[in-house]
Amino acid sequence: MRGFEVAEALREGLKEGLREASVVKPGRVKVVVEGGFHRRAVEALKARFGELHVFSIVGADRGGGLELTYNLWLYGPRVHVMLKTSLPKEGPEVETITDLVPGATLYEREVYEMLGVRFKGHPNLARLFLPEGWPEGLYPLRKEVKLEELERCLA
Amino acid sequence: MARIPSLLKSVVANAFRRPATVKYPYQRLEPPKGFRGRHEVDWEKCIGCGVCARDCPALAIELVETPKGLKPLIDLSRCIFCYQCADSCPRGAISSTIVFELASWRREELYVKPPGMSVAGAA
Amino acid sequence: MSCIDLVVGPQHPALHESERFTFKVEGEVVVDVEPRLGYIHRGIEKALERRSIVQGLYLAERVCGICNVAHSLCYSQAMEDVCGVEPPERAKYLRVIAHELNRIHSHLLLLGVAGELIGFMTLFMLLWRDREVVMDLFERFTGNRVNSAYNVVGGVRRDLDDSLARDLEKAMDSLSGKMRGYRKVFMEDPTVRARAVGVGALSRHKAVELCAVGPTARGSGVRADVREYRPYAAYEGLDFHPVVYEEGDVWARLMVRVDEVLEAAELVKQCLRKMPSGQLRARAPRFIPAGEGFSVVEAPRGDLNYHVYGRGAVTPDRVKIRTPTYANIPALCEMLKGGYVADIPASLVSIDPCFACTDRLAVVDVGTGRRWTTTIYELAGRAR
Repeated sequence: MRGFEVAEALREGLKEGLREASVVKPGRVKVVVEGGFHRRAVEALKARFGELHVFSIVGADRGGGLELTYNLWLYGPRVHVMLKTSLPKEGPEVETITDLVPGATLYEREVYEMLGVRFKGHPNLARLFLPEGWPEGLYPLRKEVKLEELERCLA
Repeated sequence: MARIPSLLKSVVANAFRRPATVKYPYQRLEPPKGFRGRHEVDWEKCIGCGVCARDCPALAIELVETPKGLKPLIDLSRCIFCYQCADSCPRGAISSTIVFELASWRREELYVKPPGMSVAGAA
Repeated sequence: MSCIDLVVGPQHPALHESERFTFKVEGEVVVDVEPRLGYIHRGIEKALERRSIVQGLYLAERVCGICNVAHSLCYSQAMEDVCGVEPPERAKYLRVIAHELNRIHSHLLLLGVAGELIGFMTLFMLLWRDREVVMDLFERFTGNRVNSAYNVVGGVRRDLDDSLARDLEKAMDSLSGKMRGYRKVFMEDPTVRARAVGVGALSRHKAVELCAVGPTARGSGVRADVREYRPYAAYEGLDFHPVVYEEGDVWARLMVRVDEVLEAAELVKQCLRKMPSGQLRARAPRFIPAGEGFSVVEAPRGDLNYHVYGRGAVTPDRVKIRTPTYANIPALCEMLKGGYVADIPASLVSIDPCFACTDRLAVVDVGTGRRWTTTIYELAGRAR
């Protein structure tokens, strides 16, 4: 199935730090890495497959913790890689990938703004969409933040 | 500007065609069949199940009491004319008309009301 | 040399959507650019967490009026992915027709706006007159000019009758003929060329590095079109060729769109010929199982993707929408740097910015020295 070689390449490139690399359907590979290993995964993919495109960086509050998903597209093998890593809700921090893929700069800022994830090494980790004067520490996409509280901030 | 002969032809031809503007309201264009305008409800077909009210994205439909049972009251000022209500209705009781001139002087007129319901019931 | 802040907007009759620009300039050259977004932010992703599948469909559609078909299509496909629903074949072809008609009207809109900004009012008026034909077809096909409400999770809402199919075919032929005429104008007219050739340069390497999408990337030699590299709906069975230009300037990006209109008209005709008979929709799911769905489509401005997380409930756990104009902003900043102030409107219009999708671009600058306000038309006027 399309994607096997990608899963294989990741297993070779990341001996430790790789929790799962499986082809969930033709052309889609799900990769779960331990905290901090997402950079190695991106490096391994770039080194082996050349040009890659970032579809999006999705931050989600899964209740118990936060999950970051990097949706990557590999032009060569035509495979979509869902690279996932989990983060704790208290003080979540990961390394930036903007030196590897400069196009990810705004996506990381958005995840920082909406969920409070700090991207270490990002050249300009500032707010993106929220208005000036938005209270510090209020991350709209966290589950505990209710709509009423957001409405009050915007009033 | 001697180098755009192709466009010049269109410009000259347009000078002899009727204008593209339709002088509404003196001239009127009729929307095509299937245009999503004001709703029309077949009150006999309606069974008062409330699926239309549940699925409405704009929360524009409310079920109200009538002598014939629960029927939908559609608030056109909230409606986004998506016609999900028509799609969801298990009896196909809701359909669209081509009426789009819905502005009115009184808010009470901005509703599609079931028969036998007084305006007071809307509050 | 002292740097000067130039502020444009946020609300001005000349601007189509509210946006504010502040540029750092040294004389006439743009030195640095930093994006600042936020005016049209509506909290849609948070809102979608409290909407059922059918309610969310209409909210997703209203992220953007111009590319509403792309949004409803991507949302439907993402929900179909997570719920395990496959739409019938006929529905896939009908989806392509609506999608391509959407692309045609969006590109005609942008080409007209580009003409207007350059000062070529005749071209603007003529293009928009032809666009009206497409809008009328949309109204017959879906029931409304904008906000088509055509795609549903599982398929499409309405069928195509024979008379509409015939009219579509005729309209596509007529539009293609006119478009070939406009193509000549874009290729040869000296005004267009003076304002667009060599302006807003974006190299291929930078376009890939900055993850540019759509005509912005394809105008710089990047052969990336979702309909080719990751086909969806009925594209697998259609004869489709992505349009790529190598020049990397505003002219190339406009030409990509001109040729895409011609390609889209061809695709509509192909669909009309190849469309199988059958059902319009599969059984719609009522709840979203635990799992994830992902879908990417080629919206008129580039690749649009939705990522949906389900939790076994009626509402989704998380929906992430990444729109194409948002993806093109780093590339836009790259284009503006080192260029002239007077070229800012042309570069901006060449990425076909949809601020409703992106949520306003403001180019902020840390400056010292004078500040003054101007309008985008004044900026455009300086180049004439």
